[in-house]
Amino acid sequence: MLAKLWTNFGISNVSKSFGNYPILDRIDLEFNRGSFICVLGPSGSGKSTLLDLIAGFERPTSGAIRLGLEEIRSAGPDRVVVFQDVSNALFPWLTVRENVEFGISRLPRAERQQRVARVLEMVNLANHTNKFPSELSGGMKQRVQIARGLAMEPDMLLMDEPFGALDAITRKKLQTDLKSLWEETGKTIFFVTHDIEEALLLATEIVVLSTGPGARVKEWIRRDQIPQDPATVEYVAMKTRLERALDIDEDH
Amino acid sequence: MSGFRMTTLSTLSLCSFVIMWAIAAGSIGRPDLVPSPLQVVEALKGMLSSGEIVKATITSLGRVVVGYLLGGVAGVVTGIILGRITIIRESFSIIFDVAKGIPPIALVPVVIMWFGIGEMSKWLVIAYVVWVVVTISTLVGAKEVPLIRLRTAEIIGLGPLERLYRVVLPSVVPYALIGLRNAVGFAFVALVSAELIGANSGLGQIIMDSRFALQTDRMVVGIFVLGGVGAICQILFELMERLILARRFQTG
Repeated sequence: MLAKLWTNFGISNVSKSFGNYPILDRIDLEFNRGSFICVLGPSGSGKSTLLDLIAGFERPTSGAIRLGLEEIRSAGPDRVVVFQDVSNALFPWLTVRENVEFGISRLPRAERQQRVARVLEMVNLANHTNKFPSELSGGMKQRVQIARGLAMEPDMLLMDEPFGALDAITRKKLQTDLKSLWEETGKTIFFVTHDIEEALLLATEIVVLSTGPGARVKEWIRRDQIPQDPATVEYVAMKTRLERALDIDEDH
Repeated sequence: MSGFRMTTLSTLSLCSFVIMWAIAAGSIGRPDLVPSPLQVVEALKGMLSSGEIVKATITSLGRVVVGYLLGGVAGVVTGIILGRITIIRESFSIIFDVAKGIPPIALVPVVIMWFGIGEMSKWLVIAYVVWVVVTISTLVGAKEVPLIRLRTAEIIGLGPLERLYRVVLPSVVPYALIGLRNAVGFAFVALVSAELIGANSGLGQIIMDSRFALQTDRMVVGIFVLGGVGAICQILFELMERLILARRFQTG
């Protein structure tokens, strides 16, 4: 599939219910191509449901999600997902190389090999191509997942708490690596997390959802409002603001 | 446990079994009821030199192999169908629950009535048991193919057939293998059921005929050979699993 030419990514008035149970209530957001969007929200706020809608696994009950003018109606290789479940996301019967090739098996052999080599280099796994997932650490497995996604040359990476199951040190390392990867590739990244510092480190746009049922956009912090230096008053103030946005709901 | 310790312990326990058996046989003094180990070895020698035990073993083993293959293939197919298609699983689960409670020996009269006492009857009785065992474990695996693997297939745009053989089948392999491994033992149980009643050759017939002739030593030979061949088949299966499949398909 050809990469579609779009410059903005719009979530227009999207609601989603399962049966009579409302998950998302009139979510309205718009981002530029190349943004790093972090979605924060308490557990059960519908962050992952929003990601499923963008991925095309689910359809909105009302409203629409568009890339440029084109509405998302199903899953596709232009929007790959990096899942949180480290142990099941990869195919355990395939080596690292074969896992990364999984999504591009229709390409000619030479191009396939070239892409695999390139993306494994990008995620620092070039020396582990013939290992099986069971021989890798959790952090390495997530790198393979990212490489599998990048190999398909998507427009967008959708990441559902990808580092949530990793230890603190590995998580820190993967965060910095992901940030450089984003700077290098300019992909649009939609990143679900419940970690405020992770969001402040990575995001150019931060969205906070309210507690469900019927979660709404509670905060939407734009590129120029996100302080970069953790040793500043602005950073601490922003962190407090986000903490408050996440906490207040739990009081009532 | 180390190999050496395992071998030592196994030898010790086998020796003490034979000694206790010899003592028991000696004190009972009824070779027609409890033959001594020596008498059994003598009987085995005779049966080896006449070739009848080898012939019977080959006959029985052939039945197990044919029945096992029939039942194994059928079990994997039904397991996947029942596991993946909810409506079929829900409709047939009651029938399957009844079917799995039927011991193989209960089927023998019916099968003989329908198919006579030829090979077909024996194959079917063995295949039935294998089918039940393999279906149960395959079904679990097929039902629980991780959703995120299917979603990865969805992103890539795999069609139903490709999804089946690139995602579902390999995900099911470890579960199917557990069933196939257990089914080796069950196949021998079913073999004896089939041969004891509809017997005209094979190890079961040796056991049965020896009873009519009060040749208990021959009967014991038949029983031990049966147990030995069953154990060897189990060990061979596990070896094959380890050699061919271990790295790609771990069964834990």
